[in-house]
Amino acid sequence: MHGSGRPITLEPQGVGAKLLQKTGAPMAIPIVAFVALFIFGLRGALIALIAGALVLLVLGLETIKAAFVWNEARLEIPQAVFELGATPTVRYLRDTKKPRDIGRCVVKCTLSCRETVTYRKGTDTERERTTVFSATFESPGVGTANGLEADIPIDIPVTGGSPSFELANNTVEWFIHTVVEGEGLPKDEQRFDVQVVPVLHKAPGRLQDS
Amino acid sequence: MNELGIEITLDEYVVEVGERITGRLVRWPDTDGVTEKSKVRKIELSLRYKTVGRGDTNTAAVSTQEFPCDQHGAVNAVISLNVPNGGPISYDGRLIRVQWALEARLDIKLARDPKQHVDLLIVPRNGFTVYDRPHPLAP
Repeated sequence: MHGSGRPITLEPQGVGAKLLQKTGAPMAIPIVAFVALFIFGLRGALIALIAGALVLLVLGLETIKAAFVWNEARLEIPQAVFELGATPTVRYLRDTKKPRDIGRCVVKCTLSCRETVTYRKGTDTERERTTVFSATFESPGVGTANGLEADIPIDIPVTGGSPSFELANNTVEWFIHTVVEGEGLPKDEQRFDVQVVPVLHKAPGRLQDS
Repeated sequence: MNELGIEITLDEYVVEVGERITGRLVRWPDTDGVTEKSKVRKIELSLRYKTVGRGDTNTAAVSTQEFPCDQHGAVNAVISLNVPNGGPISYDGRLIRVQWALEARLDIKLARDPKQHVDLLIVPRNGFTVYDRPHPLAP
């Protein structure tokens, strides 16, 4: 078995969400615009404001709203890598910036496997992607002293994509998308990259069933 | 046996990652070694994977073994090659297929080196009794 037995904490992928939650980018935009007003005048301040608004639009409104109230989501996985046919339980954790009541909610985890290839076409390099496996698992979320928590059992398929590998032009990657559904809860999505290794989980009954 | 005179017999043609490929390589003499010496110097055996599909091909030899030939051009030796732990395994996906083979290359003095391939199935650890074709298993 891989891993040391202690859960591994994953951070979400994507520069946008991290930037917002770690640097407080929505707050920074008016400050930059104010500084630009003194250095470059009204025109400079306007350009800074428009550029900031465009950046926030690209990053997503839900991500912006969530960044004001919630800290970055984390995903705890029982070991560093997943085996084919395993049924691990992952833990979704989301801390609030201020204490708040957590109502009834559901945390959804979508496990996906994606093939990515690149190929030369003339002088250009083309990239093609396809999702070869996708399954959604969900569990109710519960409020804790720090925020929101949910334990979600997931299935790593033996009938889905290949274990993870990365070659120069051919890659297979696995990731988990999380989203929370409930009143007053963050609507933004996170992506967590996970590794699936070429090991069949030892559960013979399970394999015979498939 | 084929036109190269090589006979490769493996103990298993389905091998788990991290395991060892074992078998025997035999090449029959092509000269008497007295009036004429063989031009075949050695046989290089390599375990290779190759991707097939939409993307540009990636191929690599992950393990190799050399068998020097005697003056008759003959070899009779034991094959022992390691399969890497991390894969990739034999795979039949939508955009990507991964194929594994043993490649025997004859090193012939002052001539093009002919090759021979033996297909293999590389499967996940604990998958020896489960797989009879590339991953994934049938739903």
